[in-house]
Amino acid sequence: MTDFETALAARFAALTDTDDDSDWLDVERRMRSVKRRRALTVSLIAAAAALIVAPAWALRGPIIDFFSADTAPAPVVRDFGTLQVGAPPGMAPGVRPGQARRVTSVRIDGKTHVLYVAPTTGGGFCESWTHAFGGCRSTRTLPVDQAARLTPNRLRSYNAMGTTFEGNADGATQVGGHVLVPGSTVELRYEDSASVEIPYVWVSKPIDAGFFLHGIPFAHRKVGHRATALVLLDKDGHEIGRETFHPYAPRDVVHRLSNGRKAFAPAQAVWAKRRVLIDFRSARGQKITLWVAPSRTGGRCYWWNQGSACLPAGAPIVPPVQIGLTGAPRSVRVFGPVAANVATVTLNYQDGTTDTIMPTQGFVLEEIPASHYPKGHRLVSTVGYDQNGHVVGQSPFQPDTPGLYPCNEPKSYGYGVKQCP
Amino acid sequence: MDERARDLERLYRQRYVSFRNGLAPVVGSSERARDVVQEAFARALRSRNEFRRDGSLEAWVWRIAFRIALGERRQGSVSLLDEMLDVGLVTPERDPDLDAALRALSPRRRLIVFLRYFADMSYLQIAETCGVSEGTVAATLAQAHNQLAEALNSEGVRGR
Repeated sequence: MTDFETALAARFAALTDTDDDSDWLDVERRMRSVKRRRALTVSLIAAAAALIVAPAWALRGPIIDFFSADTAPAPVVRDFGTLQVGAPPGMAPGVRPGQARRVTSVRIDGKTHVLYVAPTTGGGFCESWTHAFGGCRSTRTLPVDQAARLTPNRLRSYNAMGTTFEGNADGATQVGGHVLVPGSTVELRYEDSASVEIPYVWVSKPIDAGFFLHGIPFAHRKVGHRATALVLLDKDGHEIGRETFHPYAPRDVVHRLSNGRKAFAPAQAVWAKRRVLIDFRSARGQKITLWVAPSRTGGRCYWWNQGSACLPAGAPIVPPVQIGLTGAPRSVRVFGPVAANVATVTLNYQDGTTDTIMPTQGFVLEEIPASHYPKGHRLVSTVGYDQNGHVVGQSPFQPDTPGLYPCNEPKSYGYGVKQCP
Repeated sequence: MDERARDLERLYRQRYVSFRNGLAPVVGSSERARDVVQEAFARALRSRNEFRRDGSLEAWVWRIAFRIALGERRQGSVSLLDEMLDVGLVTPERDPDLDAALRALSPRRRLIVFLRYFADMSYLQIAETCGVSEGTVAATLAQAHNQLAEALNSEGVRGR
């Protein structure tokens, strides 16, 4: 190839779409669909008087045979594996990463989204749309104790569908989810009373559910025309599930600090009235800062290196000790708000040692010493005490959660997942 | 699944992006090109027993794809190069100079350039797909290169 051809090839390459949105299953479906149409024609000729009624569920979209679908590539198997091995004990969804399958793909706003699903040991499934969202339904219906916390309508909706949406201040831009009721219809409704049926891909057992991802047309991303709800209707048109959408207010706003660094503060925070509440350098030299500011809607907002939130005005901190453990590649920290009557907090470790710290205006932010990273020495609970030494509340921790504490040699947990034990 | 179907699936998995990118300038968008590729392979799969080994499987699928892209108007006996296809960049605004230089080429030269650079086809593959000799492809491409070099050298050929 001459220099000119090389340069020309590079120029063409810069204009080339490298996104691989191939879908062999779709090719096979197209091939079969013509065969089916031909077969149907023959049937109609042979039995003109016969009334042929397709099953209603067949009209909602294609049906994918799970075991005939392509197996998921290694990175996807690893991602599903992370859900399983990275979860705290007792909270893993029971996903079977090795059984993950590639189901279908859709293109929204110029981007291809591929759907992968994997079954769980509890009869549920995990779903993952590339560049979109993912999640797990470890069992098909909610356990009784959790179901009791929902209203009858919410419970019925939960047991029939699961939805999620992406959006911005103007409303939803894409909606997706799954349905568990064969033959049901997913309907997207808009502010202007328009509605559209959203097709879904039904995946056979062991998944036994339908999946969809739908880009909201630009015409319906304007006030007065926005998406308001996803409604699930049974075969008779009765509503069996509903998820409503609200314009999404950006949670965090990026601010540039005087030192050039960025701060991600809640959008409700009154930035001009911010102040530093806790500030220190970690053992590895990182600057750790907790900021607070009043909220525009009353209450108080806070943000620090690894999170942000706003606390409503006048609402008590319930439970009174809301301290969480955040793992990082090289350090572990405890952080969270505590009730006003919490005077001291003890950090209790596996080896029986304790550290006592005092909250700063209702917040705890502390780095766990490296001596407590090894197993047998890790944090097991934080306990809050009032001024009289009475226990006010506590937060327990699972010291064996993989991936939380730093280590020198990550362990293989299968499915290509490597984490610190 | 029989051996021919497996060959088609293998070809699809290896060359899907090239098929789509090669057809996009013909049909005007990646989305439409994708649909053409899907339909072309579905037809190839359906008609796989009709494939005669007088050329490569890939060239056969390409011919099906072009037939779909051209709305069935093309007849098998007519060379693709004689179709006077008005192919063009899908996103000309991203490289207006290249777009202008390509538009100055004859449709015949332009098509071969697109097949070479967007579909990543060899001279032989282009020849089989277009129904011409490999020498014709080489000569046409050489003429196209000369013309493009002349048009682009004034502002310098560069990768972007």
